[in-house]
Amino acid sequence: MKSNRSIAEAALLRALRAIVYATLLVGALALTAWFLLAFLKLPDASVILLVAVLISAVRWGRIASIYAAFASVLIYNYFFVEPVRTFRIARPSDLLELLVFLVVAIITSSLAGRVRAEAEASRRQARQTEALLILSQQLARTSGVDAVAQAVATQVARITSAATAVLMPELTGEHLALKAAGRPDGTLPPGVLQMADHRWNKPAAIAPPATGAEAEGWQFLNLVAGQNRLGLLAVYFEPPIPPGEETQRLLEALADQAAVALERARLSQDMAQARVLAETERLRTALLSSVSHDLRTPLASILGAVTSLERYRGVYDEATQAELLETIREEAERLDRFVANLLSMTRLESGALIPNMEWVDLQDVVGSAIARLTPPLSGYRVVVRVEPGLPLLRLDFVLMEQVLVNLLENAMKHTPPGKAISLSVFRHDELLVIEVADEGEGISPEDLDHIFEKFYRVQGSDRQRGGTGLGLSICRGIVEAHGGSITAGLPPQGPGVIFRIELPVVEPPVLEAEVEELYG
Amino acid sequence: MAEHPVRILIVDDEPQIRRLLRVSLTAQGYETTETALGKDALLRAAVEHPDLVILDLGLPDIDGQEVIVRLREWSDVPIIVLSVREREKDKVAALDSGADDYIAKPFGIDELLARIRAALRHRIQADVKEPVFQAGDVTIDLARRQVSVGDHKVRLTPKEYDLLRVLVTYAGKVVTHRQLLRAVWGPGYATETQYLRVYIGQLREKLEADPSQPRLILTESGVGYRLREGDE
Repeated sequence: MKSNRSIAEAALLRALRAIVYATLLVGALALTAWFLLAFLKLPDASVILLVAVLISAVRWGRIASIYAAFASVLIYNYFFVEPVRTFRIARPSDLLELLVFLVVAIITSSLAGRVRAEAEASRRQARQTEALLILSQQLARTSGVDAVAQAVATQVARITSAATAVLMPELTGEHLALKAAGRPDGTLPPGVLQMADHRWNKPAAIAPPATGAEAEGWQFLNLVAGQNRLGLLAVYFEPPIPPGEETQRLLEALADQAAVALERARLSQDMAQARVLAETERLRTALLSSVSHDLRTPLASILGAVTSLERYRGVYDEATQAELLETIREEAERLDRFVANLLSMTRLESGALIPNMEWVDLQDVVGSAIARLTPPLSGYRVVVRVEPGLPLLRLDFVLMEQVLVNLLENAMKHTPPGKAISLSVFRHDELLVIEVADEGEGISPEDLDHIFEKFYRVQGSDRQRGGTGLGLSICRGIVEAHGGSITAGLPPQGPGVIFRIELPVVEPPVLEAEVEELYG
Repeated sequence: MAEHPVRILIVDDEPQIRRLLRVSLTAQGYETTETALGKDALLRAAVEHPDLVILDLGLPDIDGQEVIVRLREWSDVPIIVLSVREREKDKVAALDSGADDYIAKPFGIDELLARIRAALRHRIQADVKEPVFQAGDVTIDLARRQVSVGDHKVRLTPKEYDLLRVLVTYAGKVVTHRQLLRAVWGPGYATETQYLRVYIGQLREKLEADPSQPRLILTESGVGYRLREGDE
């Protein structure tokens, strides 16, 4: 196993280095002790050599310090104990002294080693805490599974200086897919995904598949939150030496935190999705009920009138027949307008509605819209005011006509016959304003905020005549596509609602003047 | 009028529409033949020499636009196109490639009959231009270049008069923006709709009782303008 061998190699390397350092240190202090003895006539050099043992214990650990202890004893014996320059010990008291020195050195080294270990542990603790803090701060600022996965990959890579990747199962199927990579190029070497897949799907006892050399050295940590296995965190150190115990622990702590954050992101994403689904469902229900209502109501009138004419034509007088026929025509025209609105809505929603902009005289649009509604409008007092001398505007004639038709239809829906419906066009600074006002029952301020929403119907209205709740929302879509705005408000006094469209005035086109020669 | 009853070729793939047209047109004294296919329509036009063709643009075999182009290669039979309202571009293309008029589905039969009469009349009167046009209280005397509303003479600029003259020439029929612009301002102006908007507005100011609800110069949304005929 290559990895175990590398661990042993690394440990041996560290030990060798420590021993070399300790040797140098002991040598240096022995030299110092010799000088001190020679010049200051110190009675004993053993204390100075103890310093070497102590320093070795603190700096390089137990092995180095024990080595230093023995080395010190030997040096002390050789250089400082009579007879010098031999390892022989003449006096028994010297032998005792050497033994005591050795015991003191070993105890000191073990004590110092423990202090060192504790200091290191607390330093490690602090580093880990800091890393976790950085990650948690980063993750707290992030939402969405993808973003969290990316933050995890990036932050873990930064904290551990390893290449990283977050791998999560695909929506369908069991295979893992790369969710985010903490490598500059954002990819994984070939084979890593295969290896990860193996780790993900197979028990550890089964040997991994043979993969390319590039996948060597990657290791995988489980991302587990509660009962849920969310994916794997892949890490790769350069050079590919397995991380020390400390780094391993840190990685595990980071993986745990990452898993919790990913789980949170997944849950909130699921919730958002559920909300969207519920909204879509609500819209679909509204659409179905609206379509069936708005298609069936006119169809019912038409079928009723037709069958009644078929059956009782002979019995009805001229006026009754005419009335039935008028019903049929009006209802069919309403159906037609409804279908037009459904079509526009579909085109608006699919983004297929591209305004065909051309220079247009708003008075022309107004006239055309009113002409289209001539039969139904005939029951109302229609007041049209178009300020003379308005500039041409760039807009889609057909779409803007539909906006006006929808607004007028909406006004008719809420206004009793005989009352006034007015349409005014005027200029207000750099805006062209179109106002459609009715004398209907009006609506509550709460409804004002919602009437442009799709399928919104004013509640509690007695005179609710067929209407889709589509028309106004189409108006808004079209007006906004022209860079304008549409609002609804209540008149300062009296009943009804005022719809106000504001369109920006653009630089009018320049026309070539013609010769001022008049005919007639 | 022609000796034989006027024959109308109906080209539409919807049997219900064909039936409606057959019944209503026969009741008006027209003779009808019908087909659902574009290729068949071309064949019948060559064999039967109809006086008018009512053509749906959405056909199962070849596109209605192509039928117009191929028919126009050898025939000037009036063509009235049937089209749904949302397809303004199709209508304009059909008119620009030689169709005489269009009517949007769904349509009222009065509207259709008026279009048919206008198209037939223009064919018959291709050479003999009516010198005086009358609609409501507006009188336009093409020979003397005089326009009046009631007893009052109206003063028009040359372009206003030219525009009105083109509309009168095709009275009852739709004239596309492009056709009007080319005829009055020249080929270089075919897309400069601003001229049209301004001059139509001016004409309405001078001729219409209420310019915002015109009775004489009618707007065909997204397509063009139509002068209402006296008998409508």
